[in-house]
Amino acid sequence: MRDEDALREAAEIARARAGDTGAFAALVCRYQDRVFGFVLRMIGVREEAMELTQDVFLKAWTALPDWRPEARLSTWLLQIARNAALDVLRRRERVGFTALEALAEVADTAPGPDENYAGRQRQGRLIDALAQIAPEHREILLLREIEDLSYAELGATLGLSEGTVKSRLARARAALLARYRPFAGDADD
Amino acid sequence: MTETCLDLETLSALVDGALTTTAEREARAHVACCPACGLRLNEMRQLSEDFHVLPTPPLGFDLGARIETRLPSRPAPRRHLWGGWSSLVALAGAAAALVLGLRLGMSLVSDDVGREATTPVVLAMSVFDAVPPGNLCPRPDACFLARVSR
Repeated sequence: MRDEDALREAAEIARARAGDTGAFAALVCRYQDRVFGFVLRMIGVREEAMELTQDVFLKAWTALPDWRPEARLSTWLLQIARNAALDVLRRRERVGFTALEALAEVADTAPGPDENYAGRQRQGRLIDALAQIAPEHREILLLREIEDLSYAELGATLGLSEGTVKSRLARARAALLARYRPFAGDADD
Repeated sequence: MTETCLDLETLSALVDGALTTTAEREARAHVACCPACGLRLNEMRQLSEDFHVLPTPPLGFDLGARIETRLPSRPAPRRHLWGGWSSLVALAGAAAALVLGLRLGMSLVSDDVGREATTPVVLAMSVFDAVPPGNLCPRPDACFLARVSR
């Protein structure tokens, strides 16, 4: 983030903490896609992810006075989103239902104007494979690979030591690679 | 170069650039000569690259504008008169220390306050030494054991 953006964000956070809803709306606008993308890939169902994203920001509004500048706002929001997504997954587990049906839908959001068919297929396979691994592996991969969190930030977000972050990340990659071989399926497509 | 293949953690940390300088140099030297480790490392790197080209699915509407009117009002930030709990604890500690000090002081002074008000007798002094400590005795008979056993 550029210095100018960082200063603007810091001012918005300060105003939002003081109760300025307009400043908070600006923060929501800045982070809504990142939070939504993470939640969607965690739980797989678009409508549910939209509702959950809204819940995440409502929770963030309530908890904002307790936010400490030592954590980046984005990391803090992702932590709230992660907890909310895990709650949804636990509820699903209790009622014996998995929402993997939505994976194709997630993949459908992928294509851009200049992406080729093979690329889209590959992205679809990656998202499919991602949904098949354990949530604890999925979350750490999303936070590391897409959100670019450092090992220290991963530890803080997931409540793990850096040593555990390292080993869990390695196991998550191995689990995903066991289901996703980027080149293996291209010949069949 | 290490002879045995690198474990998953090392390869994964190598992808993330999370190894120490020495460990990274050794791992790279091994990977350069070990096709199996080279293959696994390439797979992890490719995986990482594939993640980075995944598009971010947009939410598709301005959530901020939508929830702005629904945000519950928040009470003004709490301001503690004495600086919060830590100050209260310190205050309570100071009060306790004061009370304890007073009680200890009173225990050193004869309980016959009305009679000895002008010349308090320090009974505890004779406990430390049977020999009267000279001018520390407020009164000659205050420094004898017989007086303590009363």
